[in-house]
Amino acid sequence: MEANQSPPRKRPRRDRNREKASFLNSAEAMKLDIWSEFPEDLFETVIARLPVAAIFRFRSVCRKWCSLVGSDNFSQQYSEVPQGMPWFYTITHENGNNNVAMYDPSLNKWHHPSVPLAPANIVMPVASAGGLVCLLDLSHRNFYICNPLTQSLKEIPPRSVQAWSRVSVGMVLNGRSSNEGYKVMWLRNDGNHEVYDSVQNMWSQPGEFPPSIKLPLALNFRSQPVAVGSTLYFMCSEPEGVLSYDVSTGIWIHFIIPLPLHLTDHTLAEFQGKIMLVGLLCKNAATCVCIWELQKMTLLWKEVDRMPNIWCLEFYGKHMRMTCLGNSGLLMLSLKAKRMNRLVMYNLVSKEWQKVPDCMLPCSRKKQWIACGTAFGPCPSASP
Amino acid sequence: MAATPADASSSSSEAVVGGEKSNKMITLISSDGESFEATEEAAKMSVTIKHMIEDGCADDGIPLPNVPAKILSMVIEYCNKHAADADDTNKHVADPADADEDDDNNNNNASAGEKEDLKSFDASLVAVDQATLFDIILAANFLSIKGLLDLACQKVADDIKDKSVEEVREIFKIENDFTKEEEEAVRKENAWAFNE
Repeated sequence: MEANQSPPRKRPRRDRNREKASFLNSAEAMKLDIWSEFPEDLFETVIARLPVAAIFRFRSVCRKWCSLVGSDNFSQQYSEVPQGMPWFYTITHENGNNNVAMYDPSLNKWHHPSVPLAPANIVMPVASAGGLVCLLDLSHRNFYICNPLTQSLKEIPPRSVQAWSRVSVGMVLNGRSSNEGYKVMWLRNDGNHEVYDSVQNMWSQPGEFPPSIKLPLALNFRSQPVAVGSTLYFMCSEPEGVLSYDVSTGIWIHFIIPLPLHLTDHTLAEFQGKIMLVGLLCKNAATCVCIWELQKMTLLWKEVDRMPNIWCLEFYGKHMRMTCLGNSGLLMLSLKAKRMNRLVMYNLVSKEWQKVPDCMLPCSRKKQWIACGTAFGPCPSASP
Repeated sequence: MAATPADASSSSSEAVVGGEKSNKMITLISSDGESFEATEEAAKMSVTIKHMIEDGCADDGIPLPNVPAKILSMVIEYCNKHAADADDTNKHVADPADADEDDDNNNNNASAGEKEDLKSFDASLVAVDQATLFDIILAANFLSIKGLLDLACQKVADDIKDKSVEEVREIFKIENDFTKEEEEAVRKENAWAFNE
């Protein structure tokens, strides 16, 4: 022991007593009778602050708590609580069914809704906004909007254009929450596009595609568009870049942005209003996942992070494909090679990479291969 | 802490947000007759007290028959801390001359540290025994102090989040008014949220 080492400082008594009190608090598990006097009208304030899974679990407490989720006051309270990380919504199509799984980052767990998804046809999640997820069937014609937490679902009128070609779909809110309505937009390579307005419950063609932008587009269908406010950003190539459309003004802007070299799979992502790029970098058999941020002044991608080397070693020499499921604040990446499917999460706020537990079907203990999905901000009261 | 007159006049281009800050002290009297002093600014964090001040009922001190001294002193401590924070935020936002990026960063760094302090203050305020927490909630509800009420309710939420449905019913003495079929249906619909 060094000569000049001072004795450890004792924490002030007040602090120690407080700590003791809080330990007792949790051990005693709220057994005092006072809680029976808890003001009825404050239950909503408490419940809105529970983790999402707990909110739904406690619906079984009594009739009042069950219907709370639908009340305006609860909806208001919930919107005031700072939201945590988005969840991920995925659908796999084993046995010709829609098997839904939702990843909850706060519990690091996959949830499997108990009630089967309503549409009889196979659907894929393509976009989300305000806690609602937009599903599209394989024909790219029929759209459904659902709240994954309550499994309430609504089919919206099919789009008017009859052809079967692929579309890129984006979704934005009209206001701060889904209560004020939302819009869904699809865009095709020939410039054809339509916007669905939930308030009017109809599709409309808001305008002509601007002649100054070269057609046909080469939309990257593996990259979901990202939404920042009322603007949607689509990834495209030939020339490489990003196409933006502001749903409220109808203005199109084409940004020509060269992609980083050696990039294979890549998708757009969004973080605090910034446009990001997530991609698989393959150079000399070494594969790595990288994150870039769009520099608005120069219209160049600047690398801001990459997957730790030690993780990338697993992919060395393998032919990898990457799908990005979540693209707002929290990324979920599905990295596939022959006989290998890794799920990885990247938190854009904390810049942390994390392995995601395998998704297992509830009854079969069989690992799911996650193919498609979207991130969504869980919102118990969002109604399609 | 209220802004002193010197601060307010330091920059002629500074826009003063929210009107003048008075140094007036308000007396609050607990249920057990103890008197506490608080700045008007801090006291106004309570919407109830704010209305009383505006209606001119505050001159001889405001009696609060529902709030015991121990709780009132904690409430005032909360209001003092958060009124100061709100004041700082207004100051940083109010001055257009401070709008260049460097200043912005400095302001953000300063307020980031302050935010951390405020967070740990809030956490220790509600890390108390159940009876005290309950009293804080009742006081914050009666006094309409939204921030404190939300904070205390968040603590309750944290304490019950891992409990079972039956335990929650027991704690709040809530009657299970579902019919057997209803309860089964609700459980089934929300089965995903239970520990599988």
